[in-house]
Amino acid sequence: MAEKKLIKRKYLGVGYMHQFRKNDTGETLLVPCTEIEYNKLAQKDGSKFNPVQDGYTWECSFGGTYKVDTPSTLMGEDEYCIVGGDAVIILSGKPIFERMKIVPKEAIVDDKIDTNLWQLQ
Amino acid sequence: MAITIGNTTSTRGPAAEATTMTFSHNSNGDFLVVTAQWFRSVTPTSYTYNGTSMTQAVYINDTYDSVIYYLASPTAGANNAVLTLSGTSGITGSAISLTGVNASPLGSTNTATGTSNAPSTSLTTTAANSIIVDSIYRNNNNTCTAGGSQIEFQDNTDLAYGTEGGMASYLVCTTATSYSMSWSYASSTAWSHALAEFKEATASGPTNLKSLDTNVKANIKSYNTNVIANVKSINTNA
Repeated sequence: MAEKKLIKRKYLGVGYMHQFRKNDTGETLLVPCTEIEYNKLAQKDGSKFNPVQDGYTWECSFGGTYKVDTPSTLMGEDEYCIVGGDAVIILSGKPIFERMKIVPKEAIVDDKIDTNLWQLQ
Repeated sequence: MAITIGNTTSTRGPAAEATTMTFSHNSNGDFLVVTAQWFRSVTPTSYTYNGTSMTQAVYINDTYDSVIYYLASPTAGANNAVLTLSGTSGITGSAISLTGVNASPLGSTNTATGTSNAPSTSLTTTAANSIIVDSIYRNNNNTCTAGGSQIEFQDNTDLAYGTEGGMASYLVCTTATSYSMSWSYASSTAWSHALAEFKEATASGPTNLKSLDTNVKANIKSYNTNVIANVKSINTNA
């Protein structure tokens, strides 16, 4: 069994973010926003509420993330949170489309996960 | 009236898995086509532009998903396109403005899935001068090249980023026949491909009326000439 140590994060609900790209370096900047702020963008003439940030270009905004108790509100690699009866995990060293998994919370014991679970799914 | 291409927008999408994304597209045509691609087993619940729901043209729901929506008479200018899914996934998308699309815009559609480094899906168009738009998700971030005369307007090949894999292109089709929309990249992987034909607008009413008037006048002149000739001939005989 290949075990991976994880850091537990507290689930805070559904998250919403504004996403910018830095004009000179291309670096991505994520700024948390509220559901109300996000929903304004989708309304008729909602573009007048599009966010602005000096030195950056707004790329998109998004919602429905797992909001946790990190500065960015997003889970980092090798972190997890409990949502109901499930554990939502972000594992390092995986392609982007394989790195997030939702497993029964009992699969995590002492903040460790059997990484073979990734190969089974 | 030939279909003309306007502004295009390609978004690499959210940096994290999400259920909804919003991006801006500067609409400068009288018709809008948008695409989206994602890799989890969730379905699209809506795709709006400036708050107006768009119509789904084609959707492939497989291991990976690709979808194309459209909207006639979109609001001009920079407005927001908003995709909402039934659950979280990495998402990418794009938009393209068109002008000169038929009032009954949608022609043929097709979908395909497979595993290869050279996806190719055919579509038989129903009218001359249509445009085919395709949307593909392929499960890697290899540099990807559109085939033949296809013009690429979405390229989500970004190794350092979240949801690589979404691509889109269009092809101008002069005749109603079978076309192949193809892509190529280095490593074989799974893909999902969706294609839709958008038809050219037909000639307008005033153009036809002018043509009819010309023909009527020409026929009347010819008839008068014949009548006069016949009358003279009758007088001479009498």
